[in-house]
Amino acid sequence: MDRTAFLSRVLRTAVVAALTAGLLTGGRGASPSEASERLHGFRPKAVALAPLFELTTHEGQVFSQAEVKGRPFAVFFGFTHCPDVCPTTLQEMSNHLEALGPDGDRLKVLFITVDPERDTAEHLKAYLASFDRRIIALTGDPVEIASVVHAFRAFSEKVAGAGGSYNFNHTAKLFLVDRYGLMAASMDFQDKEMEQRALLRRLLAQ
Amino acid sequence: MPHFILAAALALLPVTAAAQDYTVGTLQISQPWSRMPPPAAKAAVGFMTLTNTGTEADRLIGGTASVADKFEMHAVAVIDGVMQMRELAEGLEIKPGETVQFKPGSHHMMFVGLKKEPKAGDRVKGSLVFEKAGTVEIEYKVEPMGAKGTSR
Repeated sequence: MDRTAFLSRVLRTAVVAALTAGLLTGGRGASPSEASERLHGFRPKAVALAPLFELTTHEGQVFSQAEVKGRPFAVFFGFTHCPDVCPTTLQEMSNHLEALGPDGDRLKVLFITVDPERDTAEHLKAYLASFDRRIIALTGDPVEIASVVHAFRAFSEKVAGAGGSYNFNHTAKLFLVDRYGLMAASMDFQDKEMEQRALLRRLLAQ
Repeated sequence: MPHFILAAALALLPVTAAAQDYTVGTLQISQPWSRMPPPAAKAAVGFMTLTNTGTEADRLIGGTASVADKFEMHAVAVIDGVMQMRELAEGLEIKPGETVQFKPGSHHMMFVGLKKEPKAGDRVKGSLVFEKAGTVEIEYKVEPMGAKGTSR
């Protein structure tokens, strides 16, 4: 997309006046990092994406670089035994994708389990059935999962409960990676729905 | 858009489907509700508001839910973006005059080992056991997946 088209697209969809002002004044040729900074209002962080491509999707396929190359995507860590925050976040992301309509097709949403022992590809597939079909669940061996958690500077910890049961404490943020492969922003699940939606629209308008 | 769907779905529910209030001893239990879990989920949640109208502290020490093998109480907190869930193994004390809320993103009852997946619109039978007030039979109104609350 050339700059004119890029600007007109952003102007059509941007909801934050400061963002628009930033784009109009920053007219020089930009590196991906600078473009991301102007889009999001802060310098995005590099994130090692290679560990992602060791993981397996809920369809039992190796997760391919082609799925996210040159596209924005969202990453959420969780586990299917999580009763509250994880299903709520997946439902909210499903609502966002539905509200974004066809634009949502350009946003990959990755749900990465921190509990690969119980969350097999088969189990994840059944679990995802009621959520938006554009959400991809990823599992792998524990070392591979740990590498991805580390790459996103996230946190996950197994916590033993009574009678051999266990749960996980885990980062409940949604990480947003822009089309240049840079970590552009994160969302908290408590954030207001409209704020989240505005952020996703900005990410897609880049 | 989803709110329209939710509102439409709620409007279609019969009036009798509203979440109920219960009393046992000096404990008031307001609007127990649950949330439809995703398919293949191993656990569901229960939420409600508990108020102690008495002059002595009491303690919620357990309960049951007909859809699950086990009933647990958990405290959830999100600290620095990390979701931390802790089992309330000693139960939860409710001081005189105190109101305790079990709500999304905070405390919840967890129905572990689901025998039957609750569906939106279902009512799930259960009980709560208080140290002093004793046992009370309740019903959880099941709300749709992702619901943040219930309605009367």
